[in-house]
Amino acid sequence: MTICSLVVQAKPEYLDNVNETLNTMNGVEVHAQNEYGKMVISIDHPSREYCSKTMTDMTRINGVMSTSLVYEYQEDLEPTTEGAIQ
Amino acid sequence: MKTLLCKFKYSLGHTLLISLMILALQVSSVQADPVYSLRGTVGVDEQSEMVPNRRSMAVDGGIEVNFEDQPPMIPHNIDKTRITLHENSCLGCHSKENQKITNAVRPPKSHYRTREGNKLRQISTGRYFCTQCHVPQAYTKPLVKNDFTN
Amino acid sequence: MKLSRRDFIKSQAIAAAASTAGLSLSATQLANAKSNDDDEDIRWDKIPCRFCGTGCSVLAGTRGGRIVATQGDPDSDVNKGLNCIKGYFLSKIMYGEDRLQTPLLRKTDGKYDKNGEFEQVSWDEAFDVMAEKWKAALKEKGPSGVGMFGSGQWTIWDGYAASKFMKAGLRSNNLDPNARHCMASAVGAFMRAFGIDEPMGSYDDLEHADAFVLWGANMAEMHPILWSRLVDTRLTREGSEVHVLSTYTHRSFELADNGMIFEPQTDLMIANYIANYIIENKAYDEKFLKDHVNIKKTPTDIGYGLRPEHPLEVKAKNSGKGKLSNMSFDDYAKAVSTYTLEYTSKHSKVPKENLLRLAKLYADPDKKIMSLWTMGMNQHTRGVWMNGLVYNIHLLMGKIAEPGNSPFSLTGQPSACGTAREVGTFAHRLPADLVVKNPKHRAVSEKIWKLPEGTLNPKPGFHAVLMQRMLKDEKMNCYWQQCNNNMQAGPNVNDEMLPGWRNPNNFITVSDPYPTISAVSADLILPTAMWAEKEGAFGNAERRTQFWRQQVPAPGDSKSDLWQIMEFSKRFTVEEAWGSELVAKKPEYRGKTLYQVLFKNGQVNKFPYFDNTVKDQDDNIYKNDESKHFGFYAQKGLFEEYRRFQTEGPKPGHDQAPFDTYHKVRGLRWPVVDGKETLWRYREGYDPFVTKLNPKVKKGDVYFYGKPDGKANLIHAPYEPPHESPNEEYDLWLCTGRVLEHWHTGTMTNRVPELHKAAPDALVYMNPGDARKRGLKNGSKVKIISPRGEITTRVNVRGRNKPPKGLVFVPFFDARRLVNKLLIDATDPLSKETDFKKCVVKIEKA
Repeated sequence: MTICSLVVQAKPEYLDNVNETLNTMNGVEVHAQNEYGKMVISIDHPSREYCSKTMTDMTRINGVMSTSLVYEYQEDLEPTTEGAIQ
Repeated sequence: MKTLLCKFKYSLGHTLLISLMILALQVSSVQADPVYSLRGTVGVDEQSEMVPNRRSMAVDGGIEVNFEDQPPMIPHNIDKTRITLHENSCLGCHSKENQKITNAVRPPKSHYRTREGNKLRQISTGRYFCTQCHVPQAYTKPLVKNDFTN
Repeated sequence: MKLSRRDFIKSQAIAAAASTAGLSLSATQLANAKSNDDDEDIRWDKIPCRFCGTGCSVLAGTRGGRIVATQGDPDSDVNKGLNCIKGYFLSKIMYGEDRLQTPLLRKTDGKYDKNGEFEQVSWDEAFDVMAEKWKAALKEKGPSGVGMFGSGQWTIWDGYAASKFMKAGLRSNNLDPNARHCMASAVGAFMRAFGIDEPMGSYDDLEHADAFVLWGANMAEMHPILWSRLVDTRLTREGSEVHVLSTYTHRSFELADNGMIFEPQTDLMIANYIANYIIENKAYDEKFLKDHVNIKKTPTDIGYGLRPEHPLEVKAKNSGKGKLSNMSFDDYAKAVSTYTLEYTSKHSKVPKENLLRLAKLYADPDKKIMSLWTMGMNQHTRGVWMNGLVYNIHLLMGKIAEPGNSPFSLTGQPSACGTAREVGTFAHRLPADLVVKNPKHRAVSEKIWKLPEGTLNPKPGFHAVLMQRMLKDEKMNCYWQQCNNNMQAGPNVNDEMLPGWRNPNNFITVSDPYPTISAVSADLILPTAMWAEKEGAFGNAERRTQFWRQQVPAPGDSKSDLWQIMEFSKRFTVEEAWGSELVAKKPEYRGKTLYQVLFKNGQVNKFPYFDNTVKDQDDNIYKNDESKHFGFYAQKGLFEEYRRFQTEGPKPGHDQAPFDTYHKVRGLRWPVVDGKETLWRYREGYDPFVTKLNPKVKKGDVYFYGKPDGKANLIHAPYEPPHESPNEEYDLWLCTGRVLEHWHTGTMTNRVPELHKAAPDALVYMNPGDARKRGLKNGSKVKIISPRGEITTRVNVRGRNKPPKGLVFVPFFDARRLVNKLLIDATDPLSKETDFKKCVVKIEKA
């Protein structure tokens, strides 16, 4: 599994459009955004390749100015139910 | 419902025709299931049966949790445990330092944070009284079955 | 729900990105970010806890129309993600296997019969029979022939709709909440001292105070989350100390720097002793007293709220009287001078050094003190007096209405404040601190409710205990209980409750999700939607109003209290309820039903409802079964109409925010002005109403605007003996109360297996010496006998409660051991609140 989070800078006037496009992408979620066009995005997908490809795809969305990766996590095994995280 | 059905069954026998009649009745008739409170068949004005003697559960490896964030139950007797202004004997086994020796369950990270979420070296003083969230269990059946599923 | 590392990692990842971007994420957003797997589509939403008055917020996880998990809400200022053991198991409270799903009516041969067995009926049949009985009672006895008993667990709109239905609709003031058993003394004292109900401070005082004094409260078990905040302060703040007063040793004593066990009723002496100490040592704040306080005294020898023919009432000179009269400071000083250290120590049995330490603490001008109390002080035949005596101490020192200096009355129910008190579901009240006795208050209520002049009844109705007496005496014939379990929680079950319920001329309806002992003692049981099965609002003890959305559908045919009240109101025409004379004043109401006049009045039905009306910030859509049924956003309409009482009524300072705001925030503490909540009332700089009502008040100064002259009342009251005391035959005091693991009568918590197993039975906690004297030991089977009844259980001499010699404690959560059969129905004559903490018993081997 690969989980990464990134900050996407979009042009404010394109925000809705960008949001809509991002939401159609598999494994991508938009968690927060502000009026200046900053967006908090996560990608959650079994394949690492998919994640890096998706990030590249994002830069091509109309209105996206930049993407910057903040956090990346990779693990080969499926998660277990152990280890209460609280 | 059950009582109604039984009555018919025993008084009228078992022919197919009658079974069909019962089915028809089942749909149209009103239900007369008795309604019981937690007192069961003991009326409000009657004396309940005596409390049985209880014993705390002792379970090696702990009692299974139901859902994320549920504080684990205490799988042992705590009659001799004391938490006061001056001592907390739960931490005698369970603190980060002592559990390495005792192998008792170690409090999770959430317990090492202040109310505002800042990290602490010691267990948070806001969580000092362990029994607010963690309680032992007696060997007894539930009073009523619970249908919760996670 | 599968707990995965993935969820954790993901929320970490998102939090990191958010912090890089400088964006803040709410806990619900983070929780929703978890569990992305298709089969784990859990929706998370905030909802206040269903139990005590603390008002913790939890996040409820819903999947497939069921609550599948709950967790503490990290965004809540009250609990910051923490819950107590009960709160952690909220997810299970709705899923007891014996949920009631259809109305049940006692019947024989297909017809209603008081002595019949319960049979399933339709809502129509249920309401037909009920309406017939209610109309007959109204016809025969007038509005006082019917009554409704509600709850501090009602949502704000449940209570508001009930108040409107009973007081405006049926013109009956026989509406009382079980908060009467719980908070009435606190209310009485607030109104007498400050003219406005509810604490001036907030829970923030727990982090600001230097010292804490618990007057009878056992917060460690009853308010665990507030206790954890108090413990946090005690263990981290230099010089912090905790004083605990009670009639027996309990868990809160584990933290006590100064623990004091006093003889029941002598708390009246202890409070007066502290006042005496402060005066003798000239420690009081002279300027504060001069500028902000009037000194008054209250009539004495006022009886014990028993039936009027009871010898104690016949003997009392001023039975039930409470009119205040003026008193000079010197007379007050003289009156409390009786309560010397020696005298108080001798009668209370608290060692002198402990009393002195407590008095010195209050008298120290540099110590910020929070006094906390709940049922120990309220459930007291001198409860109003006793609440007042604690205010006296704070007023003498000027330690009030500022951060850390806070006399704080805690509540036991989630909306004792929000519903019972603010909405005014008491027999003498109207919304927003208005009262039925006051013609101006009635007039403004009639205006807001669009009623003909003179609709509202000026005579206070029957209070909780009086309702039971009136049922027994057949003066009231119909009784509708919602959202509580009075047959288990009320006093003197055998003599004063059950006979009235089973009286063949009375018709009793109980609305409940579960078959409580109240339900099985009734004639009609209405299955009720609970907690997350309806849209709701609660108000906690620090004036915080919190809303929630309907998370899941109710099982079977169960309906919310609100639905039941509004639907039942359709059964009455105004002519039947009001009489033609009153209807003639509003001819446009002719032939209309109460539902049309009260709820389809152009105000309550003002807000349209569509299937997508209720949404959260992530655009998740929520159901609202009542609004769907009635065709308008009922909760919003009721709340917005209720808000008019706060701004158009003659009592300022109650303002709440608009309805929609509360769905977005984790609650706000009223008064809310321009979207801002108020943490400390009556002090300029914290409370916007101070200069609004008196522009001359300087920054940092106090103005008690609930009273016409802006001054609070310091009310002297002496010690008076209790209603009964141990004697040769009944040689022990009995005190009742709660335990950590169960909430009140345990209707919900007894059905959570983990909580049941944590505290399965109500035991009698006893002093080992008292046990030995009777040939008993830990675990012995005993009979507890009072002049009113008996129960059996086992003895506990080494548990969490350690009574002194002469007193025993039995909790009341256990339906199988109805300790309230033993209690006397004595009440505070002023507040009418029952004394659940003092009666006499004897104990024998069983």
